[in-house]
Amino acid sequence: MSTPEKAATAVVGPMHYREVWRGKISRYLLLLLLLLVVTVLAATLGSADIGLKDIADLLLGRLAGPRAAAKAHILWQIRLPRVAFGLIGGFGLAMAGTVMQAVLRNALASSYTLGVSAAAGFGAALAIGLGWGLWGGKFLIIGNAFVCGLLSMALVYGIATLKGARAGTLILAGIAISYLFSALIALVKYLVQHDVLAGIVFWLLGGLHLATWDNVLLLLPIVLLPSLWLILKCPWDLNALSAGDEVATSLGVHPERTRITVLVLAALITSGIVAFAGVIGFVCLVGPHMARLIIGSDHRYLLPYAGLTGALLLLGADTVGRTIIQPTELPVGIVTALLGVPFFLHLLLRSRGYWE
Amino acid sequence: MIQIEHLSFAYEQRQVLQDISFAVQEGQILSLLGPNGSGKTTLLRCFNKILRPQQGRICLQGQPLEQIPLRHLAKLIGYVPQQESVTFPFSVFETVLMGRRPHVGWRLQPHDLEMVEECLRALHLEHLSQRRVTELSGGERQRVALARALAQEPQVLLLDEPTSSLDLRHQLEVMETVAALVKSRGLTAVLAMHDLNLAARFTDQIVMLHQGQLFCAGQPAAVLTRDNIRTVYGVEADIHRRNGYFFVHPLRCAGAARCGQPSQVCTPNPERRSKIDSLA
Repeated sequence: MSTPEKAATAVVGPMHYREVWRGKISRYLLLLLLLLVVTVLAATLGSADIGLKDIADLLLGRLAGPRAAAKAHILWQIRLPRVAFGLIGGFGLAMAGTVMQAVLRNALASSYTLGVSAAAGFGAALAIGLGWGLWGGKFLIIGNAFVCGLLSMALVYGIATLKGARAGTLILAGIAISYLFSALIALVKYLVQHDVLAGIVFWLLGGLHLATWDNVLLLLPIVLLPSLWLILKCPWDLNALSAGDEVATSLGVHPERTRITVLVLAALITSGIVAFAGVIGFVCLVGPHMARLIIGSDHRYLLPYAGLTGALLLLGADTVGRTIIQPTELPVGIVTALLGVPFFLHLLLRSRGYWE
Repeated sequence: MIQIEHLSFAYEQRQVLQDISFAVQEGQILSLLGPNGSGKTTLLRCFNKILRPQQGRICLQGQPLEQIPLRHLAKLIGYVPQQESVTFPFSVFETVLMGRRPHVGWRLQPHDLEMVEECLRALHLEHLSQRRVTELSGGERQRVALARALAQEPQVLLLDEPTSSLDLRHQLEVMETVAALVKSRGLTAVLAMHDLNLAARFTDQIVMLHQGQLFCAGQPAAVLTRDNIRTVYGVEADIHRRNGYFFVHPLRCAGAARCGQPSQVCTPNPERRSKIDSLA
């Protein structure tokens, strides 16, 4: 079957596995290091001059006086929540994108594919444009976007239970629902006044300006709990599903049950993030591919790695976006694409056999 | 080992399998034969609950399948699909490792790695272990899928048309491998097959399906007769024996109605016929 000399040089088994494992660990360490660097940069860069030394002094309580108080305020109440928000948001978006691509067996799947983003955008547009919402006050926009995001998932779920949760059915149903909500967004935009329209457009561009500790604490469990479940419970099932429903079944996985569970969790994560940060594209689509190109397709390693890649992308893009033409901020969605696309294309062109 | 009792299956309105009953003996290779659309693949997929029959049942060692949880069934039956779509580029090692899924929690045990290693060796895939499945040829992919099924440590192997997309050498290779594995590990194998000659040569039992019904079952020599092949496939064929091997030699479409344009090639050539007969 194989030529003898090839077989003789082959290295397999536990030794080899350990070697592969070491390679993966070093890639993890590198990513974590990068993430640390970007986090520090994000905390120190900005229109206010706060350096590493200031942060150290603030932490040690060595800085005093009114300027120190202002610096402390900017660091604790403006920059750090934004850093935390970027990390959590990016982590969640890429995590959701990865599992959606896996269970739908489609490299183009993202929160757009199932209509979650469009629906959440519609909820926000209703709130901003017409003041309609389930809650008043500061949760008007956030609550609307979150509930509408989940609603789109419920619609997809309903169609799936009527027609069977095959990957193709779900993608088509999701795209149909996405178009429906896009049309509804356009309708709201068409109906409202010019100044209100600007608010909707701004929200739809996405951004992290809503980052406060309160919001971070609200978002954290919405992202973290489903993510933990996905990382701890699902990697083997996601691997099996990548080989097709028949093979997955023969490996003891219920394809449709797994698919629906995973999609609902992904929709929960995405709706939460989109509700606070608007529609941020790219991270949930391309973050997973970047991670897959670097660490491989095995979801045991891929899921956390994709999350961290997403965190790096979103935080990095947001930092660039708010510092590059200070004091004006570029929307993060624009920056993620401008920075991420060249890097992604580079990875793609360099690798063999990634797309069939 | 496996009993199929009065099995019927329909996709929505279309009846695919009707009242099928037979048994698969332990340690044997059984081929399901029949033309396209005769229900081979459907029947094979009922064996490990990919499809659930509307009537009848399948028993594995006396236990009805519906009483066996899917995860447990995955430790008993391995499945090799006809052609596997690969969405994302898993490595060969990772693909074979998927076969351990029914046995493991999140963490791997040393035994899992040993099994994967052994299955890679058994199918001569060691040197490809870190290659992406997307870079492999059809024959190599077939071997990877077979290795993954073996890694499940099953008692039964199901193979859906394992030779249909392979060249001559790889067809023989896969069949020889399956036959050797069945023998060395005491497995039982059920294959959906198109190639009558490979089926005749490598399998102990043949079940011939015709329009969703069991047409006949038995040893290759008993099932692969000129009459049966004419009825089931609509093909006139000669059957030869030479050096202990058994050949089906297809001659032409039976009955002009089937293709309407019987050409020179299809019509019998007396000269060649007598030559073949004298050889046989």
